Amino acid sequence: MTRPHDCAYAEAVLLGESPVPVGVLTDFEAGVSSCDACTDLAAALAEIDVLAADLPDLEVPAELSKRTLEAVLAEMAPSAAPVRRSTHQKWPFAMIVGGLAAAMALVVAWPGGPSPAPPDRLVARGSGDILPTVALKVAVDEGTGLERHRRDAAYPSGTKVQFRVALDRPADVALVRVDGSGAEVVTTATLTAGDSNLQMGAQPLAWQVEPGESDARFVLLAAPSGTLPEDPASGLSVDPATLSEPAGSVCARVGHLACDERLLRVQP
Amino acid sequence: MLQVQSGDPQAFEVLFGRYERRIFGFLVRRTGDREAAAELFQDTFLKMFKARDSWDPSRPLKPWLFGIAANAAVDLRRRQVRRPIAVSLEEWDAPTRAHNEHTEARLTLERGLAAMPDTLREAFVLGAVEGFDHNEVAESLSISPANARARISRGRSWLRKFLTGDTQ
Repeated sequence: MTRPHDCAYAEAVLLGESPVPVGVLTDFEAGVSSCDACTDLAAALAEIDVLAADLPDLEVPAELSKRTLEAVLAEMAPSAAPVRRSTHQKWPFAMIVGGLAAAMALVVAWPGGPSPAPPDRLVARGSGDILPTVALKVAVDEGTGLERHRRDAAYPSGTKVQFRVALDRPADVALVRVDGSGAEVVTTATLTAGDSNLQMGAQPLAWQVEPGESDARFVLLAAPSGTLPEDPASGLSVDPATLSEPAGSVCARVGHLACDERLLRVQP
Repeated sequence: MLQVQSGDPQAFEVLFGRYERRIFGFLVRRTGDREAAAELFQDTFLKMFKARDSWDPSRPLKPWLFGIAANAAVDLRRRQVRRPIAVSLEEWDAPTRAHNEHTEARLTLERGLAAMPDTLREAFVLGAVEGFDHNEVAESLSISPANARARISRGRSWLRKFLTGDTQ
């Protein structure tokens, strides 16, 4: 006896909300295959399952891995020397003094980048090298001292922004500022593994928010030494309408470089 | 794990090496925030070690360990709610390891995961990404297997709608 095809029921089965029919599986499968909507749903769900199962494990930053292991081993041997447990340490005050103003003046005067190029130009040369794992950390100073950047806050003009980069291996990096009008390279550097402040010469590099400046994404690109594109800003852009939204993510569209980004909201 | 329970550092290192990437991946996808995940990562392993005697050797280790990670994420969420810090997933920290084989579909899926409601996401990540069966998901999240199954299913359904732009 053939059971008539029921689209709603088939959808529930495909979504796992109803049990697979016992005894009439062949009829059920035939019904699904004869129904375009059910076939599309089955294909979409199968794609989701494959993609989800295929998501890669994420690399643990080397410093985090090491620190965690040390922390637990220290727990196992209480007499061992104490280890640092906080992930977020305040930046040493000494790093933000001396020459900062000069550094910021240079940063603010940084020339605009060239016009964007197609994203497919952002291919690291020497493919086969293992991309680094990178994390961009941002701190701000509104005139009362350096604080951790809050992604929900809008900062006034005059705010100074500083950048710290965490890498699991040595890499060439580029800090790029991307807003609705284009992308510009703020600085490039060759960094070692671990945490490093972006510098300008011997001083910490800072970005000072200017009156009238728009929201922007600061994008940190990283690649094995010698493989960063000559113009890292090429191809990077963001739609002003979605700059502050998830869809405005720049890194989501960078496929061949390690990437991390922070949205900096600015008070109108 | 029995050796870890007896305080063997080398056994812990082996265990840590076996699970660190999976736990980190789970936490990043569960929180949608790499910094938060990094904070929870260390907490998870410290809590695991401190609670090692509570693990029942007759039970599988994986759900117990991921359960600690899931609880740590919930605890963080509660703390953040108390300190009115924006914890919405409006700024998804895109995966920072940009693999050459990353396809747009994968990135879209990651964005969908980041936007998925918490209760669905944790079950979906454990079930569909980590490959837990319904019983293991249930044990990790301290919910019934039927509830685990329902959450995973609703997660799939939610993702399908996200991928077709129909999340309203």
